[in-house]
Amino acid sequence: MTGTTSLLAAEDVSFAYGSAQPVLADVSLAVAPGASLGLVGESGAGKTTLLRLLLGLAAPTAGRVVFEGERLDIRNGRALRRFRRAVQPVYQDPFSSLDPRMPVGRSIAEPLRSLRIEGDHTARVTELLEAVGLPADAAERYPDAFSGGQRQRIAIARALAPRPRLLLADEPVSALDTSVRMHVIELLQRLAHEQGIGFLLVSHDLTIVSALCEQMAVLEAGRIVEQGPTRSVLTAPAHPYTARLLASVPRLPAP
Amino acid sequence: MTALLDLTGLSVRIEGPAPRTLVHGVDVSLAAGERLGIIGESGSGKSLTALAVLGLLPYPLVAGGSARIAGDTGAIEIVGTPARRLDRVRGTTVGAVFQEPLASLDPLMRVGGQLAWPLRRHRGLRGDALRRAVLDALAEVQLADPERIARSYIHEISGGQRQRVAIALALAADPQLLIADEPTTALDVTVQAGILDLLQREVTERGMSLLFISHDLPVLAGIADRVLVMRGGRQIELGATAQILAAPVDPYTAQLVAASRRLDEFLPVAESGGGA
Repeated sequence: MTGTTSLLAAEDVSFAYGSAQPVLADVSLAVAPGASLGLVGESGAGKTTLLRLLLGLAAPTAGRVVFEGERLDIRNGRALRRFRRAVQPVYQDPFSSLDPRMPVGRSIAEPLRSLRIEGDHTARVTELLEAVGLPADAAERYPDAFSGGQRQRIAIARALAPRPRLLLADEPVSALDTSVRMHVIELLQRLAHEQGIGFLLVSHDLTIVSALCEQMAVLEAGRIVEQGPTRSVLTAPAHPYTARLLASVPRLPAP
Repeated sequence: MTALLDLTGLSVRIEGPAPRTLVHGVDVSLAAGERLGIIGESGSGKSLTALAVLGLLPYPLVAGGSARIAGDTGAIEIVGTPARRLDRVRGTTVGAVFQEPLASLDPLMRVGGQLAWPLRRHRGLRGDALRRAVLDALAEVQLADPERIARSYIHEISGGQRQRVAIALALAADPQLLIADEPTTALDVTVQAGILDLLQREVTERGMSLLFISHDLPVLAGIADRVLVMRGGRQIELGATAQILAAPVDPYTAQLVAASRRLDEFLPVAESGGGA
């Protein structure tokens, strides 16, 4: 489809656990460098499985995942390290994604060590903490000293450590309170704007996808039923499932 | 006018070597047929308040102040009343639905059997009449194929179906007040919409009062007449929903309304009237 211009793409990807019904069927999507794509779907739609394939944590049963124009081979350690420098994950739960026994600074520098990135890691950690709006002395403290929103900032700082070009974020604000959620969305918007980082954001929440992604795709029962510019999909959904999803979002009465 | 539920200085504290107050004096009363929403973020004390009203605080949590429920069967003070004496209130006067339907359902008993229990106890039904009442109750919460659901164990049905069963169970003894604590938080948005519709309809048709607890202002705005805002264990504002949304008084409420409003504005307005 989008071939060589995309940074990361799924091309006719299918996936099945054992001989069971496929969880994903002929899924194609692509993220261009610096672009943002939201992948929307409800539980059981296959979002998490697709994310695992796109992160190189599992291989598709059919089709392929393409990184910078080449098929992602998850058995090639060297290619995988190059991939991980460029594509970093952010998970939903900032409580389970940080090691409670590791000072925050060490957690943030972890990708630098595991990807064998040279340089002054301490200075990089300070820079990252600043970028996500946390004080430099946060590096010496442990995760339990931070609130949910602060932990999610730490998780984002860690993902940013190897200077990735794309963040794959799985429900990054779903576990957060409303006002904190707003702040993390603003942080992600700023990172996209200032550092040109792209996002592939997986969420059940149309609001965050609408806030952060120019393009969106709707996944239902393992298939992409609609894909296009977020604005036009949300103002004039073409697929009944998208329309139903949109109509189900509780809205505030107009002021 | 007597209130159905009257909370006066209702508090919750932890007893023990390091006692601490978690909820400081909630004051609100709820008239028959009224819908009150409690909103707060994590740690605000909103769920503890609900548990205190139900007399279900787990030890070492202890309620203080007063929570009076004036049902058809007479008034009762919840605070300080032993659990076994509250049994005549729970179910008949107050029903409850929680975030996690598994919390109120028995994994080892078929759905029909669980639902038969309160119907037998509170409505005195037996035999065929009981069997019919079970199926009616399942149909009322809009479960397709009530026969199949009645035969199922809860691991055999979906999350949305479980929450519908939990609602049927809460409504079985025809309570005057329904307490719903984040009943849709764990559900997908389309499933949430269905459950909210169902709750609206049941509350209206039965003329029940509703105490609805949520962290989500748009959800509350669609269902509550009045909103009580909690933060850090304190009641900080109480007012009509429209007034809280339009002219919040407390700075925290204002910030919560502004953040919710900004999130809401990210989504374009649906063309076919996107209300709840």
